[in-house]
Amino acid sequence: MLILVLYIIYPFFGFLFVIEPANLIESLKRTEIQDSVILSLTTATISTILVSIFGIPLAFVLARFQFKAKFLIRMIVILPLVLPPLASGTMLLGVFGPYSLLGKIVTVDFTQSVIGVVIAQTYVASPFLILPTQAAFESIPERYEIVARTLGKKKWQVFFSVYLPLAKIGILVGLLMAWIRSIGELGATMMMAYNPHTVSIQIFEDNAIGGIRNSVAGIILVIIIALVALTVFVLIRRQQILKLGW
Amino acid sequence: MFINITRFYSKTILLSAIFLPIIFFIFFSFSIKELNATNTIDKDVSVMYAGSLVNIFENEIKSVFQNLTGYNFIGEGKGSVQISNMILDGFRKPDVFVSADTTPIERLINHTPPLANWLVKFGSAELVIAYNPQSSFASDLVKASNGEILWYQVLGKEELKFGRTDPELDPKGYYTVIAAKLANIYYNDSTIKDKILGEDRNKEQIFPEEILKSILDSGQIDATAAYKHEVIAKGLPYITLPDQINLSEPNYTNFYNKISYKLGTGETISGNLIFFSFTIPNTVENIEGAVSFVKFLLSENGKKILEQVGLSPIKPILQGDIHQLKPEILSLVQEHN
Repeated sequence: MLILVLYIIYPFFGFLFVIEPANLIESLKRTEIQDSVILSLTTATISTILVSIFGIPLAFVLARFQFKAKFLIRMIVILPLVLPPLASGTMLLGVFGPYSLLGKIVTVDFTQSVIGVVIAQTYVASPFLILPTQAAFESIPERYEIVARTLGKKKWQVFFSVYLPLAKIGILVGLLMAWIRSIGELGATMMMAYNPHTVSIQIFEDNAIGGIRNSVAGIILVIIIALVALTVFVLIRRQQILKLGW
Repeated sequence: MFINITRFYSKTILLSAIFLPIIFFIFFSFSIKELNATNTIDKDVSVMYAGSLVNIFENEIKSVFQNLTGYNFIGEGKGSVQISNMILDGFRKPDVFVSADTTPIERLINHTPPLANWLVKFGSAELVIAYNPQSSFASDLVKASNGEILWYQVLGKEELKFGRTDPELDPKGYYTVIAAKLANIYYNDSTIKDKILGEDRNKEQIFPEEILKSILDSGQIDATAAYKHEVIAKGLPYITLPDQINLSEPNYTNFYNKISYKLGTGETISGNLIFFSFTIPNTVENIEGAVSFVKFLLSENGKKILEQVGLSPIKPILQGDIHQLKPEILSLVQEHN
């Protein structure tokens, strides 16, 4: 067990040896780096909002309703998780590419644009919200719903006043995971929108041009974002432990 | 008691943090060495090649080479400058490096300590404009390929989306910039390069070599700069450029020399004939396999394949330290001259 932990953390120490402070400061000042981080933070937030608008109701339906196609829909929801992101991106091109049916009808630039970035991130990040949210809804005992219904609450009222508050922590974890996955997305985004550069694409390009030293700034910023997300995750978990005892 | 347990665990974790990674890496490096020694090193030849050769190497060269020699071809295609960076950084140790242009290999030769000692130019390429036949500009592009209208008038249209590789990463990228500047001189029109390419590193036009074909296929761009051999291998329609611009005609070498491109690293690339070259880096792990592969490239079989796909084989030209060359490669080079 400890070996795995060390295996995960060890690259961070290895990475310290390639950091040159003067070079790092210069790199952090580069507008490409700053723009790419801002773009990633913005698009990841938009993608997470989109995933939550459609994903939370879907997770609820999957957790609480029994219907024939449920197994199939569960499989579909997991697909972006099991598909290589490059494959997802290539397939998305079939739907949103300029020669696709949609691309021909709508004059909006779905590819090589901010919209393309959001489309790719939303696709890849969706299971990261849906799965924990579904698990959170499933863990709520059905008797709470029965009690609420007995007290005269309507179905939608039960969703908002019982299920959502009780599943809040699971949903927050899902939102956080979807957001951080969107920040790190590379494969699908590369196919849909290599330009404008997200921070992952900027790291990819900097690494290709000047090796690992050239990409240090982008990597450091991503690590900082990840640490902030991790802190939020720990705070949410602590709240979960305090409230529910698990 | 609780404090003692905590201290005990702290010590254990600290000691583990120091010793386990060491044990872990020693164990794995030995295992990998052992594995290589027993199973693969004699049979695998790792070849890193210019991204534009991916179709030729994976679909044509690989199977013929494997069948003839019994070696296992392990190929990886990327921008040549990128490959050179990866070798310089120690991220890759290919047995053979096949590069578009000579500059990426020259960087290995000029490194201290040298990571290569020589290179052999074995083929020349021609720059063309590949396009997507489904593009909304297809009819104009076809006319340009038939010479009915001037190619730069079509490519210079504002709505046309042009794609290319990064001049900082890929010889084709800087040759595209050089060719566009040559067009300015040849047609006596200083606006051609700006209309078609914009800035040298115009972000909107630059894509990685590996995905450029997908970007073209899916309609995200209408046309791209390409080598003739790769468009033939990929089955794409293309526009031929005048000899004064396509960097393939030896009679125009002096004209090509008029333009240069300065890389971010400070190196200056002069316009020249596009030569494909190879070397066996000094970090080679399977020297017999590497020699076998370059002998195959220079053989009649190898040349025939290259010719079929539009890369013109030339009399091999040796550059660098001749004394470091394996005798069998030297004799092969001399045999052709």
